[in-house]
Amino acid sequence: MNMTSSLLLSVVTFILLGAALCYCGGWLFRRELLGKIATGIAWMGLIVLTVGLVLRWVESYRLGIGHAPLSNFYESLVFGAWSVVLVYLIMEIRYRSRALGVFPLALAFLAMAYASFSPGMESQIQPLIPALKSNWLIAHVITCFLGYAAFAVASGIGILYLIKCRASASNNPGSSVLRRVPNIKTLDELIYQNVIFGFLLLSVGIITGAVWANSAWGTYWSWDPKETWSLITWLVYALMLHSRLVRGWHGPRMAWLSIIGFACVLFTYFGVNFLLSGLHSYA
Amino acid sequence: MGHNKTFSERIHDFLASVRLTLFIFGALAATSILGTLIPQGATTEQRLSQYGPKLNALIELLDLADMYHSWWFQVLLILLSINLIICSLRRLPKTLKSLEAARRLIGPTRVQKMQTNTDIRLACTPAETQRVIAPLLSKRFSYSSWREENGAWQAVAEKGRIGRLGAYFIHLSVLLILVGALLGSIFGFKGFVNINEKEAKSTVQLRGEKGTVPLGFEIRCDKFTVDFYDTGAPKEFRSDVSILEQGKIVQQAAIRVNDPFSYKGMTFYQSTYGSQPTGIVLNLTDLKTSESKRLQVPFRQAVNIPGTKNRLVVMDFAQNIGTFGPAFFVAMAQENKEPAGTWVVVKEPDFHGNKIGNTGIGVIEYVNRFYTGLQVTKDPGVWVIYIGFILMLLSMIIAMYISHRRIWLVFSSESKGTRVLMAGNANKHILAFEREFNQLTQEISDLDLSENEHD
Repeated sequence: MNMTSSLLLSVVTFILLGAALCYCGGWLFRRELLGKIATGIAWMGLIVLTVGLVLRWVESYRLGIGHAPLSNFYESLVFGAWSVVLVYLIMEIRYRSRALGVFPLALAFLAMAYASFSPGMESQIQPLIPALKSNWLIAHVITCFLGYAAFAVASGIGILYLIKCRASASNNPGSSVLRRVPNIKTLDELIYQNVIFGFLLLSVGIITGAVWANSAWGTYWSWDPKETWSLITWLVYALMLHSRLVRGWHGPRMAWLSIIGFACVLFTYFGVNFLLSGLHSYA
Repeated sequence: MGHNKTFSERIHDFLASVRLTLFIFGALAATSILGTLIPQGATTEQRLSQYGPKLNALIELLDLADMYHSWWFQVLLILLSINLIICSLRRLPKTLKSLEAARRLIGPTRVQKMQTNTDIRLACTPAETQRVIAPLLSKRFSYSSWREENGAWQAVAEKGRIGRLGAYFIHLSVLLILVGALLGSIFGFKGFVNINEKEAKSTVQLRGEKGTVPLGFEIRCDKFTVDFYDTGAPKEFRSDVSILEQGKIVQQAAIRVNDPFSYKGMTFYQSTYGSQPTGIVLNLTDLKTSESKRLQVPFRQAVNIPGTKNRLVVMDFAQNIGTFGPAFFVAMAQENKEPAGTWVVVKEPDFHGNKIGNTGIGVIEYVNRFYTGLQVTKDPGVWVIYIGFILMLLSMIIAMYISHRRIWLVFSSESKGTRVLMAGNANKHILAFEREFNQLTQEISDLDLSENEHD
């Protein structure tokens, strides 16, 4: 077997689990050190994921079917995990808060566990079908997944926001666990920041997809279920941004919309593949 | 507030409202979900068997099987465009006015009332202070202006004005995309054409059985090739084509998946391929008299069997039927009998199925020839859409990440130097702005220190 990358990528699963647990521990037991360890492990996870993806790329060239590792369901899960960890770590650097790491790292762990250990998963490097042989593939997949990742991080903060709101409503703000979470105003701002970043990248993703479809099939939009669901997702976030910027919605409504939006993302990614049929049957 | 609005004013308000925008977003999203659940473009028979007559009647009434082209979906899109235009036109003057006002100087009381403000004391005269602060402001801001009145200085500085206009550009880009789609649907078409190798076609079939369109030239498939990976999966489809005008070759090209070819505003895409038997020669044997005759038949075209009133058609071809190899499905309509058909296996003439009634059928020869399936489109709206795409991305970056930041300064002379009141605001990224504001405050306070060291 020449699939060093697959082995490496299954190992990442446990690194990510470790990071998620440390973030959780650092948060629950209020140990600064544990939080720092969590950050270290998460960075290690990101590095190993990157190495794994690059190795897989190199391996595909060795097999004579060289292409970027972004072409099937397995590879998209791996890249999805990579994106979530990257987006989260950038946010951690910018906002210096470790209490938000549990959700994204747990999500990345689940994606990698599914990719590496689900029995039906095809983890072999497969040759590209003619429709996927295009430089637009790389731009399309990278932007879509970075967008999805930002939406994932936003929804994680949304969940925390709602928990924190409920706790303060039931007059239980003394809960030491929640005190470590940034204040409600910051959470609201972080949801917004992640959502606009995600919205921009989802737009780039949809547009690169449209340009690609036009060069491959002669039609930039064909109402294929995946396209339609990406548009539905786009509309939900457009609604969210307009209601905030023009009508001044804040707080719990934004948190709920970030969760609904991410549910749409999940359906666009998984639901369409498993429940509906269409052009994107390969990923 | 005071006067009652007329009906048309209220309609105008409604069409300009963000409430309507939110409603349309929700409605487009919700109905689009329906469109991904109900198969689009399914035939009436398929729908009847899936949904039954009653539900199917509802689906037909609301055009749900071709939902995205239905009248009510178009109405939603038109409503969105109207909402977008009216809403933008209503808000634009206010935005422009506030941009104008943004460069106005403000007095000390208002400066102190602003949310982000600071109060610094410097040990030099207002004029000296102005001299050192002015370069600091012009370094950080693209616009700054100063005014002196009786020894007191006032300043305003700003940057990122365009950030206030980003949303309008996004709206314009959405309109461009919708207009581009409209242009495409009025002046363009989507069709397909299947061309056998060595043959030429001059018309294309429109999608959805809407007739044919003449190309105005001929396109000939010189050669079709398909490459496979070792795994058996297809690697590349390629059609070598020639464009013929009045029988003469004017251009030759190769069309691959993801690599289309355009000629005279029409673009040809590699879509499907297949093979089709040609030059089929059958051997028909009367099983009673053992008399047999040869018959050349075209594929999928009924012919008379000479000397009889029977008709015969080769309806289908399979590369491999079961383990028996290639086979043809032949149907025959005989006088006074029900039409009947059978699979005729090519390589085993004695196969028990190679007959219809009392006629034994064998295949003497045929040639399997590739045909290429090309998608043909003409869409003059694509360029409008692409411009819309580029504008959308640029203006999103402007609208999301360029914040309009403003700073006001008021100096007043004090016995020990100058009092500097500074305030500022930003229309987005407040936290980042506050960081910048604090940095600037620090820089100004540091100026004071260096001045002191000189003393």
